[in-house]
Formats: sequence, structure tokens, C-alpha cells
Amino acid sequence: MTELDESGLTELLRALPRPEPSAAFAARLRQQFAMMQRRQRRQALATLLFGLTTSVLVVATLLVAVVANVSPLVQSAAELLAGLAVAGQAAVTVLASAPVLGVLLAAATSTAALACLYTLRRTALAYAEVK
Amino acid sequence: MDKETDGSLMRRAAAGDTEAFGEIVMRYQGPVFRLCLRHLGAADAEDAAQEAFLRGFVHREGFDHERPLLPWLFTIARRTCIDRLRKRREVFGEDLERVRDEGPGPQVVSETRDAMAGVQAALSELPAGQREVLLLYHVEGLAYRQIAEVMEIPIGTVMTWLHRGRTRLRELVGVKASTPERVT
Repeated sequence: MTELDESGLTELLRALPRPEPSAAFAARLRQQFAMMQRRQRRQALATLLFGLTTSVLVVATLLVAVVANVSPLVQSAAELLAGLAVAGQAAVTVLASAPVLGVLLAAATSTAALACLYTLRRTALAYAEVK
Repeated sequence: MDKETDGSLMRRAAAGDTEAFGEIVMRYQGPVFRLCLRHLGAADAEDAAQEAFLRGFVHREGFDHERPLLPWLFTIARRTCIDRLRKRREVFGEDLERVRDEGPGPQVVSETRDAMAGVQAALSELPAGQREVLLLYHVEGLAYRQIAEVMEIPIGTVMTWLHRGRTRLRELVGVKASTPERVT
């Protein structure tokens, strides 16, 4: 018996019969591949639809929540404006019945404004000194 | 005409090209099927090989397009076979090591009742690991590193098993060659 070298062994083993799968193997596999592709596309579509539906629901919920909260805000703003209008009307009525009150009010407002200006000037000077 | 590369075929298959996938199958169905046959026997080999190809496609992002496809497919096929053997053990209580250590199966043995029967018989007497390494190296043409990756063992073990397998096979073939064939 001659000693088998590496190439001899390769030749020997490659000469062994090599069983092949059945003739339908490749065709069946291609069919399965096509089915898998279709399934993946369906899944992707389902995911997209789910995402869209969820987004629409979220947006709708947000809109409802905002509108529901805006309505009382608008209502309270209207009430405030109505209150201011009533107060303004009362002031006009009072000033119309006693004009001296108007003069006094104007004098008081001017004094307050002058006091504010004076305080501001003092503050500015003090700040400049500190600097 | 130049043969299209594995990487290019995989890219086309990933884009949904059934023809490209079919070409991959035509190229590698034989080696993948034979690996499954050695692990599982004839009953499950085709199903396992099909599962391996489909798994390969599902996990295609793990494939390095610059490297050959066959070792990567072998790795997936081998894992598929091990999964199936585990299931068999769970369902039928089969001994995993015993099943793994089976020869190429009665179908294959019966197909080789010719001049090569002695070599086939000698091969089936080798431990499963050594037999697998020998076939992957000599028949499928894989490199040591590729065999190590496929079988998930260190490269040193590949070399050791290959050496032992060759030595043992030479002895067995020598013995069988020197034994006169019985005519039945």
C-alpha cells in the first residue's frame, strides 16, 4: 500500500460520491423565499398602517385636550374684560359727577410719576458710583 | 462571462431578487445539503438545508460581502442542525452525541457499494469532528480558519483533528485495502 500524501487524500475523498438534494429542492426553496418576501412586505405595510393610525390617534387626542383646555381660558378672559369694562364705566360715572376728583387723581398720578423718576435717577447714580 | 460574486448576489437577493437567491441556492445547495446529511441523516437533511438558506437570508446583515459565502452558510447550516438535534432530543429523548456521531447515513452508504465503499467505511469509523474537518478541508476546500469558524473551535484544534483524521484514515484505508474483499 503506497503512503497517501495530502493531494492523494484529497483526490481519494473527492472521488467519494457526493449526494445531491432532490431536483425539487431549489424550486421549493425559491417558492419559500418568495413567500417570505411577501410576508415581510405585508408585515412592513402592517407596521406602517399601525404607525399611521397611532399617529392620527395621538394627534386627535392632543387636539381634543388643547381645545378642551382653551375653551375655559377664553371664557375667563371674556369675563375679565367684562369686569374691566364695568369698572371703567363706574369710574367714568364717578368722575363725571365730581370733576374735582379728576383733578385730584391727575395730581396724584403726576406726583407718583415724579417720585418714580426721582427714585430711578438716584438708583442709577448709586450704581454708577459703585462701578 | 465572469461569474457574479457572492456579495453581489446577496445584495440583489436582499433587494428581493428571487433569481439572485435562486443562483445562490444552485451554487451551494450540494455542499450545504451534504453537511446537513452528515449531521442529521437523510430524513431531515433537505429540510435543514432549506432552513439554513432561509436563515442565511434573514440574517444577511451578518454576512461580510468581501468574504466567501460558503463558510458563512456552513456555519448557519451547522447551527441549524444542532438546533434540530436538540429538538429531537427534547421530543424523542435521543442522545445528541450519539446522533452527531452517526455516519453519513444508510442511504449514503448504500449508494457507495462500489470501489469507494472501503474509503467510505473508513471515514465513518472516524470520530465525527475529525471526519467533518477532513471533509471540509479536502472536499469542500475550506481553509483552516474558515473551518474553525464553521465548527466554532480553535484553529489549533482544527489542525490537530486534521492531522489525527488523516493518520487514522490512512491506517484504515491501508487495512481495508490489504483485506481481500468478500464476494457475497
